[in-house]
Amino acid sequence: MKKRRMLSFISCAVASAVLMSTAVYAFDTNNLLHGSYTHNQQKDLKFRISQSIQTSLFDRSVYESALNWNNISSNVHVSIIMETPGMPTIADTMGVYDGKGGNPNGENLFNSVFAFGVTQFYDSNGKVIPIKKETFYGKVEYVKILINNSLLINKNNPAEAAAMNFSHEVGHTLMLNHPVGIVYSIMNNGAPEDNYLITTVPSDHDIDYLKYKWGA
Amino acid sequence: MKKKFLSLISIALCSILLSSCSEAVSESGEEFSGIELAPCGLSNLPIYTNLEQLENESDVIVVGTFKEDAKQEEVYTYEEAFEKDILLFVKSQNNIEISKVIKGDLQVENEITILQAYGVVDNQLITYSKLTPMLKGDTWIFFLKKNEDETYTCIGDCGGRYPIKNTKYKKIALTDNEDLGVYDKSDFNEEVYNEILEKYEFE
Repeated sequence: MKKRRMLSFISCAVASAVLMSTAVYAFDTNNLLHGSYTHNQQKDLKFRISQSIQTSLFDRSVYESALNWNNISSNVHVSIIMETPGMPTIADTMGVYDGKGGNPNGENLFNSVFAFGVTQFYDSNGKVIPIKKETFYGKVEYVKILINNSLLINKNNPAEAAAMNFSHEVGHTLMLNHPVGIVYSIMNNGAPEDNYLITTVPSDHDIDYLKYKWGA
Repeated sequence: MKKKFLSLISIALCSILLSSCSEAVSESGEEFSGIELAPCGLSNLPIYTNLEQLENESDVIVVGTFKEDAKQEEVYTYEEAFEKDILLFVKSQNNIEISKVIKGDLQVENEITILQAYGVVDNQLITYSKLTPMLKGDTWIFFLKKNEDETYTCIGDCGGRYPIKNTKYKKIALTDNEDLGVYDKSDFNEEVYNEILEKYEFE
């Protein structure tokens, strides 16, 4: 009897020690955006890369960085389409542009906000969905990503910075927020050479939250 | 006849009451009273961990005061997905009169135009910036990048504008942090600000 009790006690102690040593932590929902897509677009998110942000330096290989979001959740799939001259409209694609948002003669957002990139969410009426304190509960029909290559070109490794930046913005389309606290994450603000906490591929933290949001 | 006269008096009294109410709202002294804050877009902002980085990135560094009420413009683009124009962003612009030049080829009393991505649409303050609006009479220290159209933008958005010590800023209904110039205190770079106070001399 005594021996059984001793063995039970030891088993419990070992189990507790194992649990405490593994990365068991409470998810902070502030790391996520609470929006979702009207038609589960995240299952087949297609990003059309405008010619305005394609250069010899910022070419397909930069934008293919977004494919690192694949093979994490079975409910998430990302692909890119490099726009070519005369390419017809392709249904159900999300637009990726420079700061003029697709209007070559228009105003440049990046003259008004000094950022590497911006992700914008729209509802089914084409109305911008506000993000309250960086969380929102909108039903998203469409996203637009704007990329500021003229800022990225000044980095020591512009292609790496651009790849990270695009993956970061795609992370927002997958409802990942800028992380709370000090964590390694591709969702941190900045460029890799300026912020040691930035990863150039989705980190364990990013993978965990992607699965939390969309399922394994 | 008596009834008509009484009705007229009642209407007049109601009008006086209503107008005094609206005056009380504006007399609260808060800008953007009754407007809802609507932050839009998620930005990947450059990070500056020290003043030297900010100084190196800036084309000009000045102390200046907003001269007027900001003027805003909504910017739309045609979007194939909706087959119509949709809002890209709202921009506001305001001039500052420079009272001190720390870096750059400008003079005291020069005026320059600063752009910031925000504006009031349908009773909402739509903003892509973490900085509070540009209010007439407020004085800040600015770290600015010059745009190709000769306007200027704050470096790193909220990283590019800081308060003058011991200055009281106009009350804004949308935040308690108007004295820092940001909606959310976590967007204010305290470390860099302490370096600014230590290095630059302000009156």
